[in-house]
Amino acid sequence: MQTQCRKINVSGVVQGVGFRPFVHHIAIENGLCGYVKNTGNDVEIVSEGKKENIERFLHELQSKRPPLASVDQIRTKVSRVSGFSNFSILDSEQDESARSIIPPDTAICSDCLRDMYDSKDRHFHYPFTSCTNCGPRYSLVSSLPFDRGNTSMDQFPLCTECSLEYKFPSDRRFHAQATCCPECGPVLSFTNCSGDVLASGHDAILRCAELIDEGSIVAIKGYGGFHLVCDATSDSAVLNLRDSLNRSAQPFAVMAKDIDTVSSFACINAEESSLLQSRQLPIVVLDKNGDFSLSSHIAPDLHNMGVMLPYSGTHHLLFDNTDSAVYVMTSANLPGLPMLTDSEEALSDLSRIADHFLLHNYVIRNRIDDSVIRLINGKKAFIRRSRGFVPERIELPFSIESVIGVGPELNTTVTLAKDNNAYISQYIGNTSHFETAQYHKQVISDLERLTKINPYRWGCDLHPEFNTTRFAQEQGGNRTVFVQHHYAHIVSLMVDNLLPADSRIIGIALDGAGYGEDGTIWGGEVFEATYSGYERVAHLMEQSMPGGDMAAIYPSRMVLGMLHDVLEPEELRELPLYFRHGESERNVVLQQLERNVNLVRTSSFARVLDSAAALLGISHYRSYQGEPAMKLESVARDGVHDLDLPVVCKRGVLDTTSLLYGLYERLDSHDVRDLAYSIEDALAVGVAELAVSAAKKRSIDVIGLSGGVAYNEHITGRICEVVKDSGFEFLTHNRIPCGDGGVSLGQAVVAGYSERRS
Amino acid sequence: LVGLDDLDDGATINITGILENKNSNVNSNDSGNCNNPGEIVITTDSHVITPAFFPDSNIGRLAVSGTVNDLAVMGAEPLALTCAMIVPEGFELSSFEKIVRSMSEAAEEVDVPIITGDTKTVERNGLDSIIINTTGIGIANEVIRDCGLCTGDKIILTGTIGDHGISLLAHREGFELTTDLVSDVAPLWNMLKDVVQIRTIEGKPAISAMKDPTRGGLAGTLNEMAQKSGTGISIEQKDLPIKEAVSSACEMLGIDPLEVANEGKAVICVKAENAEEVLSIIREHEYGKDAAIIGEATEENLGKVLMRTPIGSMRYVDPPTGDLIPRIC
Ligand SMILES: [Fe+3]
Ligand SMILES: [Mg+2]
Ligand SMILES: [Zn+2]
Ligand SMILES: [Zn+2]
Repeated sequence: MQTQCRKINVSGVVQGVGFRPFVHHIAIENGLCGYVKNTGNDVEIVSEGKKENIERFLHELQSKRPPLASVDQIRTKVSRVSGFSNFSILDSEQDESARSIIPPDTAICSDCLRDMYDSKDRHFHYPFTSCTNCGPRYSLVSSLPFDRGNTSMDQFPLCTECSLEYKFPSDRRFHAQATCCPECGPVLSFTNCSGDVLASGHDAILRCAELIDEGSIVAIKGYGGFHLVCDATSDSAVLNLRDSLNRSAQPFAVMAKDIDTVSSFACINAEESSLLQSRQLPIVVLDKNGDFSLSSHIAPDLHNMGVMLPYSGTHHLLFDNTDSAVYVMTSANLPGLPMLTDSEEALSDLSRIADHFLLHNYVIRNRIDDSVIRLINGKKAFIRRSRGFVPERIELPFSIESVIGVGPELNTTVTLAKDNNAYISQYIGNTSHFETAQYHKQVISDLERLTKINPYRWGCDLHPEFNTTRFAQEQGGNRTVFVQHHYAHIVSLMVDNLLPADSRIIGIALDGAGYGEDGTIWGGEVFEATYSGYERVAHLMEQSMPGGDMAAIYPSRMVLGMLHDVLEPEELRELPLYFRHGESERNVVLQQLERNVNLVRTSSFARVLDSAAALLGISHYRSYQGEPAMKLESVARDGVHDLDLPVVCKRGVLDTTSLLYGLYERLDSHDVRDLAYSIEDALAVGVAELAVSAAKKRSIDVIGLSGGVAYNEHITGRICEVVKDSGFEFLTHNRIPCGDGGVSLGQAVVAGYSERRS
Repeated sequence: LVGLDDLDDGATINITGILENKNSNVNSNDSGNCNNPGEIVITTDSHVITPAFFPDSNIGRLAVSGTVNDLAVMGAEPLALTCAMIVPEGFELSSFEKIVRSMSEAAEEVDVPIITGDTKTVERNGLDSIIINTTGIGIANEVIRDCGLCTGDKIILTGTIGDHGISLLAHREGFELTTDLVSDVAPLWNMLKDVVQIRTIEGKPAISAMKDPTRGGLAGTLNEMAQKSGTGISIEQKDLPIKEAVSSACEMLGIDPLEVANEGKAVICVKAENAEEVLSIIREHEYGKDAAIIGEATEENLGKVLMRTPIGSMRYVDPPTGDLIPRIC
């Protein structure tokens, strides 16, 4: 039989994951000659041999693949036979394509853990042990291709033994760019807050574990940045941490030694258990269980909390040597600023917060926070999509030109997209802070370099005062596309569900605030949406926010705004509310409402939840994002009786004043848990009914939900129920955050879609 | 007391006499200045404010102070003012007299005559309150602009922010703020006249730029200075002089005190080496006793203003848009 030749291009996550040795292996098995090499961000294969062998090879390329690899596309073309005599792995080559990308950071694998615990292996007790199947990736990389020279490991030349493994095709560490050992790799050191080294290597682990057990707060440098760590069972340690961070109530995530330990303080169902132990090892939001034994200050007044398992060698070694099986493990940052990644900066910025530091000596190139996932009615919802997932490709349902979405302001991400590929960045944070806005710019340039996408159009929020909007305008000029916030949410939902280009849905977007086309603040919206535009078909009643954002921070102000027209002045004065400046503030707010001074109109859904939380005495101050609504959810969870609050919809507007008034009327006669449950329920039903009636009127059979309120399990579940009972298909998010972390993708796609048509 | 009806003839100013008088006062050792005859500065402004009477003051004092301050922040000694008043029919005579008396007191305070004026009465439905236009003429050795800020210059604010705007708003809307907050409206020349003469070791003017943070407040003023000068500005929130009453009122109302108008304050940009000297002179004056160095001009973030917040992070101080647009999600 005649020898044939195929030139094959593979795109996907194919670099830094042992893909070339895998190709080498199956080529040899099939008796093929030729080569494999990394191009810019694809893998190129030339294979020569018998036709059926090539075909089996092509099949195995897709069916076998190494654990971390994912293949998006294989393009094959017939080529001229050049008569190779063997199959070889060639060096990498630069290229300008934008189809593949480096893999996310991955938890240490079981093989490497075995090496780390084997006293005869040279990786014994070495926390940076990694191989082609595990370890940090994205956080190490500065540019493509993913070669050691383009990573932080370039400062650590391989020793003889590591080098042998690195060069031997059948070794697990063949071309493992981050491989290293105690001989040649980074080292741990344990320091006091002035940076004096107290111990290094394995002793650093031992001292660190010992001091955490004694109640110290330690800043630990990890994969993508610093964590602040303390014993999660110690009230005094947790309170110390709260004090020094000035974080009165924001929940802390914890890391538990193993899954059995988790089940000692949290409820885990089968799905949550597999999510907790999935290869990304994200933070999973779990309900606390009945005999919760951790400090009550970890997630005060909430029924749930974020939990993760050890993912780095350092974590495993710490838990081997500690008495505390659960650590608080929270991103180390000053309020509103990005997580710290640099040792020097951490030593200076955290010196008043951490007692000690556990440092390593390689550079973190890309900051990356832990991912946070919550199961909502059995479906995975990303609260934060970062470590373990970024920069994985998001497949788009159609092809678009090169675009960027710069995101909104809080919890922002950026998205670069081209063809049918989108890359959502890691969590960036609150860009109203200058330092975070600088980081936002940095992420854009890093991601441009790694994806080789050079955006033509710039999608941004409609809010004129966001730093992200200003930046997009500076960069994009007349190629800037302003995308209404909730429309971006709905488009991200359509993309998430791979709806084709001509789709039309009824989209429900529920969140705190987005600048509306009419200059008011939207947040409880029902849209008829396509990829090319939308119509606002229904929304919550517009309410006054006295003093703008002050009404979001102190929800009692919002209560006065909502009830001002239905209660007498004496009744308003007697409402059980809290004002920072006491009764004189209540009077000022009432005067503001009376005289229309500094009021803003809003149809926000979250502000109604906040108001309910304030009226029910559950929460009076927002010290972290979503606090009043989250605390309301925790109380509502124990509600059993639906109190039939009046759900009144007129001409596409849900009357939220009637709902809150209904709550007011029942304040003295009912249990707070039932009241909380009932208002969530009534709001959900009201919004769902608005959507269903719009869908009927417009003969649309798909209804979807997006926006940060979708993290509320009760509300999402209830909307789903009403929509499905009415015979409509119901869409929620799956791959993309429903909160503001998904907005950049919606912006990018809207910008790209407008380009596509012109 | 100045009666405007006596002033509607033309007036003259003896510029030559003023210059001679001025030069004889100038220290002859002051090198850069020997042959500088000075520059004539002229400015005009129409003042409308509702209500015309507000805590501790009224539109008359505002009309004189506004124009005197416009001259003063250019480094110009006010020489004379003119005044034109448009009064709605039926405006109470006693109120009118009070206003004129306040004008006169403010003018006397900085020793500037009102040398010509005019009063017109118009139909009530054409106007609901009094309008006062003042034009001021002044003389400066070296004119100071609001665009002269250089990297490294220190920024001095001569007193607490927001007093005028907040007391006016509270008075107008009847807010029960339970404070005795009053407007800061004042003519500032006496406070500024000595510092505009200060020079660096090299003999250059120590003050590089100056402006009064009136409408648009400190935020508007600093942004304008940064943009016109082509520098960045960074300020420290903790160093901003602000009365407790103003900051709590701003919180209650949801207003940014940096965007509130002031009528008796100046922003002085000064070479770093002279900053302490200027500050101590300003502080000796009653209108400047709360003065503070609030920040400096920077090489980065050109045309923008950044503020370090008490928690240690930085945020942009945006130019006020006049709209309140929430952003908290
Ligand atoms: Fe949102
Ligand atoms: Mg003026
Ligand atoms: Zn491994
Ligand atoms: Zn080695």
